[in-house]
Amino acid sequence: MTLLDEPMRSDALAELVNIGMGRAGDSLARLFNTFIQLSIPRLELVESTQISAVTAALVGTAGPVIAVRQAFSSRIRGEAIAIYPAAGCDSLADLVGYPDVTSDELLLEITNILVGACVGALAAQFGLALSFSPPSILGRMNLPELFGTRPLPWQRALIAEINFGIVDRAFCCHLLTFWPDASIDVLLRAVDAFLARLEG
Amino acid sequence: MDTAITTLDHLNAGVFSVDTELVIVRWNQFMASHSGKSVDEVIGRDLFACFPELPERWLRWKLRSVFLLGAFAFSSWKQRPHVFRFPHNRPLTGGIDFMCQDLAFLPVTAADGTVGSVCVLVTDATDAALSQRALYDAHSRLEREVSERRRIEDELQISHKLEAVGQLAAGIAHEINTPIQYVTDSVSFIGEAFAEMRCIVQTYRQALYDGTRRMALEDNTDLAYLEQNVPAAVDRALMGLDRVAALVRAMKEFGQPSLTAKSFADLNRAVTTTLTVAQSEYKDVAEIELEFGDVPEVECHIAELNQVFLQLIVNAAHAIADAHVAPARGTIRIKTWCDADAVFISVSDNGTGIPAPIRNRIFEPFFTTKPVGRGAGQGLAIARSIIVDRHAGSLTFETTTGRGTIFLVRLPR
Amino acid sequence: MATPILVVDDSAVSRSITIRSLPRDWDVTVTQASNGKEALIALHQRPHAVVLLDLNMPVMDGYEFLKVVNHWSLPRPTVIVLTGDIQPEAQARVKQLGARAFVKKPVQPLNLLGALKECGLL
Repeated sequence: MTLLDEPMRSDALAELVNIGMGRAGDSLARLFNTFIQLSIPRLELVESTQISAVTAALVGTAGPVIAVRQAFSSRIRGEAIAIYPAAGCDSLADLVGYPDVTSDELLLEITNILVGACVGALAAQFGLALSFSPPSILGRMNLPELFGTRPLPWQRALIAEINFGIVDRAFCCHLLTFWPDASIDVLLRAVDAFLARLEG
Repeated sequence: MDTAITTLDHLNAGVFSVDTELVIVRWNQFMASHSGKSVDEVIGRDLFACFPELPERWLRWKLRSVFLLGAFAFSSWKQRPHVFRFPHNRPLTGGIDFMCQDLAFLPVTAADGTVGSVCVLVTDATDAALSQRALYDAHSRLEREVSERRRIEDELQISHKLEAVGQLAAGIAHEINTPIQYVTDSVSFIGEAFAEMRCIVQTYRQALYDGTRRMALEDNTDLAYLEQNVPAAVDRALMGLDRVAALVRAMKEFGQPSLTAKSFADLNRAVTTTLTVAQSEYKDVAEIELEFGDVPEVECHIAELNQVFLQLIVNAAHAIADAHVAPARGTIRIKTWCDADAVFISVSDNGTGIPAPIRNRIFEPFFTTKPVGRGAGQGLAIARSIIVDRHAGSLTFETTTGRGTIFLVRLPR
Repeated sequence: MATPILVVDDSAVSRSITIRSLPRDWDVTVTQASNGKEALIALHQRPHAVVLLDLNMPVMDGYEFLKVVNHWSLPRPTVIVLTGDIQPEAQARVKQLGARAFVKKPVQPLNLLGALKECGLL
């Protein structure tokens, strides 16, 4: 039985991701003094062989992107990849209050804030405290190159996709959170416990 | 608690905390020994007052974000290598100015759920930075070597191509030479034969004087016209053949395959040969002025030197064509002379001159200012390589924008 | 008489949390809608005193719903926004569009009670 076969589970998880996304948007808004537009979260259960196609469908961006990844762990381990269409990454420097910021540093900063708030808030709802490793830049690339052709160290993963935009700017970020293999079951049990509390 | 503090002090990483006012509330042994400021000196004091060299606006923003959001934050040596000016950990081996640092900012939550202080972990990333730098250096060195090798291969290919074209030209010249010789002989013979025919006709005229018949006959053949024009036509044909023969001779000499060994050659003659071959390049735009000195023969690869002279003459012609609107013409002046050590050849023009910003690039391979099809940017690079590498000479130039350029070839005797 | 309440959210789980968070002793009849458009249809069929509205929804989001309700001639319900989007500016925007109160998700019974009292419904 998979997570998404059960409508209540996928609905509950989407709602929890939605709340995490709201926290992340709020964090970004407060730091940058701007209004962040939020999307509706989407969840997909994907086999590793399908990952490129599913990612392309979720993100739907042609043209070069800059990808930044960050890992998180506790009882569940996973990795988040933030995908920024390259065209929207110019002239963001005025968002932060310090000089000599590079585009790389800014994208690392934004990724860390989004992942920390979004994944952190999601985990907090399950009563899990996560620790985060530092974010790092995967590079500037076209979307199909994101996972390359090398074999991936997992079979199945749950992906949550949300996106953030800043009003009046071309800037946009697709945040993909991956929960591979064993973490799916941990997540599943956490969702079931959450639903049980709701029933009780 | 005591155990924890001792452990922190033995950690090979910096640990310190600041409260919401950015006052230092924790400072481990690593921070003390690397900053030179002891616990007593910094506890209770403002972070930026203690370390004015810190990137204040950035660090304030970073700390504010952790207090505000209660989330982790990071900084990497790749973006900010030296947040603290700590000495590196290689007092013996050296190789770097300051310690490269990774920072992690951890929110410390108070009982009421707000962030009471931020704990900062400073780790030494110097080793990673150094090995990345070594990797980067090796990579750039490899890239340079690959591009240098590619350049040499391209040069070789082009000079092989030029050599093949030269050999082909010499072959064709040889083939043309024979028919030209017998055409020339035949035309000379026709000229002489015609002159003799005229004498015979003259003699007949006098012998068979008959007014009416002569008029009719000579009107029919227009003999007077023939008498006047045929010798001129023959002369013109001979002149043309002469020029074709000279061109063919020059092509043969110009295209001589470069032998493995150098041989002695007359450079004045080489310049004359090249001028003959290059006529089509300059004859519409420039006059040639020659000032040949009495120069000794030089031991050289003459076919290669011909290529250099050709390149300099063609460049001069292009510079003049760009500077003068037809029918105004410029002048290409070629001069040869010598001293005790060397023979000199200068080629000067009164064309556009070389603009200052590109003067130090003209000998680079693939550098060209010419539109596609007029030159691949290899000419001067190859010319320089021929003079410098193959003949131990020098190729230099002086130029004045708008006035012209003079190239000077120096070949040791 | 029971108060008619309309709960608008694309997530069934979220609607269920909201309904469970309503005060136990409050006599209500609850109608559910999964987006702004369904909510408008429900309001046409029957007036509701209170609308508990999510913001991020497919088809028609909460902002669009508020704009339409602002311009129509039917009796206007009291709108309380329940959302995960907790940016101060989101709150300001919906208040400007006529929402009376703002409750952040996940919805806690105490917070919802406070909002209902703030609107004078209890």
